[in-house]
Amino acid sequence: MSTDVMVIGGGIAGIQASLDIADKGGHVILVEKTPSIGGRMAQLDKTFPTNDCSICILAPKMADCYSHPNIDVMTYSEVIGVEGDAGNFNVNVLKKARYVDETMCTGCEECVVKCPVKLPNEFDQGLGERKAIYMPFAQAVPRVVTIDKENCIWFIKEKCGACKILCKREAIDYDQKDEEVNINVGSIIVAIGYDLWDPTPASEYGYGKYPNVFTGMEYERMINASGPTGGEMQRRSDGKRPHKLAFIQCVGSRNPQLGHAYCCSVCCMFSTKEAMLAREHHEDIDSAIFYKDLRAFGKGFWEYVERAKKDYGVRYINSDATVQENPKNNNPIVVYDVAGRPEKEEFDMVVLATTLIPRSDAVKVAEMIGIPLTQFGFFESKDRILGPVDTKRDGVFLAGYCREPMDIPESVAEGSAAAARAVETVLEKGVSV
Amino acid sequence: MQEGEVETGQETVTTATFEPNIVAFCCNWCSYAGADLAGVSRMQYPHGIKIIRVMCSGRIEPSFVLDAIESGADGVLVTGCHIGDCHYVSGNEKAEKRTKMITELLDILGVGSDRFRLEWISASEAAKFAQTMNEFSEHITQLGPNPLKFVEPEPPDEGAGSSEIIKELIQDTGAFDCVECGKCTSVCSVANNDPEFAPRLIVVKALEGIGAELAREKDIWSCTSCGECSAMCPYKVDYAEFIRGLRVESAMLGTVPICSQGGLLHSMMRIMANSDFEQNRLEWVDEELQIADTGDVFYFTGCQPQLDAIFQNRELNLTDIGRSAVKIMNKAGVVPVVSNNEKCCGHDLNWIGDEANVELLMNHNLDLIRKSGAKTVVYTCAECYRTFNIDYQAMAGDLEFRMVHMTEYLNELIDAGKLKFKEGTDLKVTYHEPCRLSRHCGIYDAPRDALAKINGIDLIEMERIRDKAACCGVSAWLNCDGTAKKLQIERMIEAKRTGADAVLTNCPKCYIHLDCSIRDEIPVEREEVEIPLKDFTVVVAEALED
Repeated sequence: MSTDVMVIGGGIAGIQASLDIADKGGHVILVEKTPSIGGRMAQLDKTFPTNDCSICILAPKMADCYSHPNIDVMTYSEVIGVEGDAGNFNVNVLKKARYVDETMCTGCEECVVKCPVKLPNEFDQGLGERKAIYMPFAQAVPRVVTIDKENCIWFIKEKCGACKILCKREAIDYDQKDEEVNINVGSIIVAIGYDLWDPTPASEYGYGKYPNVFTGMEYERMINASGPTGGEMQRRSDGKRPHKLAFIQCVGSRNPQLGHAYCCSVCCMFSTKEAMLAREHHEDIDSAIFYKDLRAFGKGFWEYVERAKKDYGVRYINSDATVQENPKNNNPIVVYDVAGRPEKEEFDMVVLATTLIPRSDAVKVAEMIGIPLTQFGFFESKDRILGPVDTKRDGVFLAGYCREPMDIPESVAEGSAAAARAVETVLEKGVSV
Repeated sequence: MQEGEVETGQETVTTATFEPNIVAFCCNWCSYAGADLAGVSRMQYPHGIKIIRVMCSGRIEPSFVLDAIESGADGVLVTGCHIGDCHYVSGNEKAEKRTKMITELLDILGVGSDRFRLEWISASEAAKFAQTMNEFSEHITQLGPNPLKFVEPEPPDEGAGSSEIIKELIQDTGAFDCVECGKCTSVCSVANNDPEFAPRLIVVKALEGIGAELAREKDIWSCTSCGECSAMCPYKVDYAEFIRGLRVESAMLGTVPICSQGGLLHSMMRIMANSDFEQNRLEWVDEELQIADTGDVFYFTGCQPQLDAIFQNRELNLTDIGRSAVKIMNKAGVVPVVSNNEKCCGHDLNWIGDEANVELLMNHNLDLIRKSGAKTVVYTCAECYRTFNIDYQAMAGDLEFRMVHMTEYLNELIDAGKLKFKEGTDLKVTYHEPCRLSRHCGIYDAPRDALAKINGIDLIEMERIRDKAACCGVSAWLNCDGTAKKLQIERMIEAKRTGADAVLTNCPKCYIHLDCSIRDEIPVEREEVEIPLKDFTVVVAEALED
């Protein structure tokens, strides 16, 4: 029996759930697959509908979470097995070797500077570079570097070793081994978030074919001051800054033919935000948003759209679109339908609001924990209306996008809801928290 | 020809009382003046001859002749100025060239070219005029009445296109799921080149319940039904079928679409549907080819001989496809049934909304295949394949024989080790996908797999392939216009850009269209588009071991 709660996934939903439980005195083990907590929200530049700086409001929570006496944060770790029942789950966690002693590393990044291996940076959607030993992003928590074993020269041909030589605190440990830890918890919260859909297969949008077609997340990284371009929008073809931007909505979502029949629930708003940000960066930017239906349903969302139209001059065009290219200047040409007539317009850059999909390992997690998936591959609630964060399995709860498409405030609310439900479970089992 | 200018209807007549109905097209400047002179000179000729004055014999399109025959004329006469005398310099020379096509076509169809004649009669040759008329009338009397079962066209059905029917169509084709996103317009090749046409608008109008008006709109005839939109429609609305359904309603309302070449092909198909003439469609079968009357495998050739006759000036040699197909099968030890009694599948009629005649053709063809005892039917034409697979099965239920396209059949034969390919073939090809085969029937891999199995043939893909392949611009012998030409030239540029030695296709219609687009003046440099065009089956047959 245990009164501890395990939270799987260190995104905003998982962080919120952990903090809520820990603040009330419960003990939480937060398991995060990547080297840092923060999740998708850390990648975003601003958040709608207030245009708050995303990392500015997230980073304090990340720090709180990591330093909280009641929270054990296990980063670079994966849940590999779950046994038992509510009140008494035995969870196997694989603590992957990061080849760096977490207690010794101060995050000075001297090793990173000297590491000779350059690789595309996942956090920047491949737009920037990182090294084989790397800090995932500037505000990463914990502030500890990780060695990417697959690409490290030491692990490939036992040469180099620059990081080990440089590290004054002798934090580098090439002999570290993956470690399997068995943890007994009373309840589990699953908050593993989403993956970004790769729009290459939908070649009508030209992603991967035409250089100046970007995904929303790429754009988000580009326009971010700590991103790979230092906050400058740059065309892939010539590095110039665009003056005319097109945002295409529902790329892959609301499209049963591509396997995602659901509305991703955020792209109307994040494209509006992205168009506004473009204008905030440069006065002369002209943006157009091509949408199927404008779903600005949240509180203050419609006003946000109205503001984009009035104050930021964003054009909204009711049509799905496809992309062609002007071979002379690599300008994308958007083809669309306006009032029943085909139209074409040339832009400098196209940003695709690609859909967000269940994580690639959602099926594995579902099987491991024993919870069913919905037809779209998200985790199924016990009751969509009256028990959204509950699952059919006692003691297991859901929070955030892995349950169904939602935005940040909703994910935070679900994190809190799941936290409350998890605490109820461990209390019910007769042990006080 | 305007409706009503030809005396239509064929009463039951016995040979004894038979007075032929003859349509005589007379050129304004010579023959018509000749007829005038014959009249004022009181020269007698049979009263069953109906004269239609045209400005020049060069005005006579082959479709006029077929239309006359189809409408019940027992004979058709075209008269014009003597060569060298043409008021428009060379109109009569054109008429002479077309005559060859008309006679060949009439012979293949089994109507017989002796029901047609071209004569030069000048303005002063009144006697010759009367004599020609008498002779021709006598000749037709000998031949007897036109045996074509003339069917009076159905009177327009004002109830067609009612909101109930449109509603049903919306349900059946999945158009009900349309979220009006406009993706169809943005991917449509036609819309991309013709600012007047937007597929979304048609569905939206239907959903808004203004279906009856829709059936009268010209937009429904601009669609090439290529299915590019459906391939990318989020909700997979069957747009082509939706358009076809609207066209059926439109046809019932009495709409006569503007077809290429005056509807020659459709006339030809209707003649086939409503006759049991002894056709002459197997002239291409030469001595080295083995074919049978009965057997396990039926090779459905399609309209190769007719199309060859129609496009004889372009020397397309589409019957090479037939020869190659039979050669391949013979090499593999298969002696296919090839029938002289085969009739057109009716594809083009089906896509102008004429379901009644398609059914007649279907009944005939199914009967023919069943009588041959065939268990497998092989097609080289994408349209025939689609019509059998989708339309015939929709009308007649599941068919008991297996239908395979030549590309699929080739894979079977190669995999069974029955075909050997020679060494030394060195050909880089690119492949133009016919919509009827690919998007309509889902055959994407068979042609690619087959090519991969052949020595020395390498496939270089174009930019737009598989379900995103571009359209050849025309379907059902409709909408051949500037937009179609643009699409075709675009496609040829794309093919040329691959650097391949040749572009292959396995639809005779795609072949004709792509070939046509670059024959005349083109808005781009010649070297940008000129790439040899070949049929898939022909290329495969050429690679066979001797």
